[in-house]
Amino acid sequence: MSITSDLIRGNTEMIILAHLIRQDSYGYQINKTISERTGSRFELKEATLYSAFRRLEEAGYLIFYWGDEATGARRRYYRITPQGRAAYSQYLEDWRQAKTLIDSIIAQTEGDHDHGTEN
Amino acid sequence: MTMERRIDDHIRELLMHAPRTRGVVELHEELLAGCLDKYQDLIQSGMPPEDAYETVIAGIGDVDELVRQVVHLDTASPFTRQRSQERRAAFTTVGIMLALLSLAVFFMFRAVWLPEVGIGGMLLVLTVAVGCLVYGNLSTQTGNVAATLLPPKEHGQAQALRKAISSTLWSFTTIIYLLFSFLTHRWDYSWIIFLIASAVESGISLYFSPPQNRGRHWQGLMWTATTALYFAVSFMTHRWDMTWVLFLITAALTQAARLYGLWRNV
Repeated sequence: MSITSDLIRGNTEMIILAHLIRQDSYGYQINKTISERTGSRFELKEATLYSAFRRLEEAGYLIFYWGDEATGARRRYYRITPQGRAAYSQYLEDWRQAKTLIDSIIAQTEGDHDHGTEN
Repeated sequence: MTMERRIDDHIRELLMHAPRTRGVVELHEELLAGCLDKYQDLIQSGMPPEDAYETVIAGIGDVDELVRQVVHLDTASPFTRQRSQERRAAFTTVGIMLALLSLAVFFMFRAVWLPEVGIGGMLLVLTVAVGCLVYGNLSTQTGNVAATLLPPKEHGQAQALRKAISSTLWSFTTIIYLLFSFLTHRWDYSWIIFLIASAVESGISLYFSPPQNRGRHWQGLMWTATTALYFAVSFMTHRWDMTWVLFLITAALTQAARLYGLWRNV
């Protein structure tokens, strides 16, 4: 699980952008989606999530606006910018390339391994 | 204490050592909103309140790096700061130019034997000048780095009120000074009104200051009031040989107050 966690954490920015490309959202909603999609096995720490928001904001990939919640604290909503969309395409491309590369490296190693056991 | 309040207190504690910049205040609100949403969800799913509280708190993670990041973003926005400073400079320049122009208006009308129109025109131009100075000063504060450090929340509104009172005080002082001087021609001592205004300003600062700064503001008030009193009494009585004693009295009073403060803290 810790390798999976590291992988997810390492791609927090891409996960956030993937969520925001569909609709504007806020921290808790994004985290809840991650939790639901991973069958409650994974959830980002708030600090990790908000830190990623700030990095994306600084890069110009997101803008934020405050919600108008009448009670309790206001939510900070995020909206993806055109630069954010372009960055997301690039992230996705990188991810697919890395995945294919790792898959092919593993397949090769597995093959060697299988070959080795036969001997 | 409600669980919501406990969550808020916990976040407050986490951010206790962070400077109160705009970004940190916003982060507090964002963290709180997220934690409260999560808490409500957990409660609705049937989790006991204490467990829900623990889960929410455990889910926050280490905020130290995040706080450093937020503070860095707050102070590193040279573009906004520069624009804000340029705006402020423009308003100040226009304000000062108008203030000087107001004198020209007065002298122009006096030259054509219309001094009353001159005074009216001068006051009008002067009011616009003061407006420019005050507006430039107030409207550009958010872009200023020093201003990104917010006062504690409960003092925020009080500070805004103090600034508003202070600007009004100085505008009125200028108007009263000019009116009084032109009507009485006592330019030799009408300027004392500025000393009085300064003492009033110190009093206002004292009223609005947090307890730890009270001592400094008290001293400011004592000395400005003494100076105003000294000149006023001297001009009225012409006893310049005696009136300087007022400063000695103030010095003695300040020392006595300091001793009293020390004695109370022992």
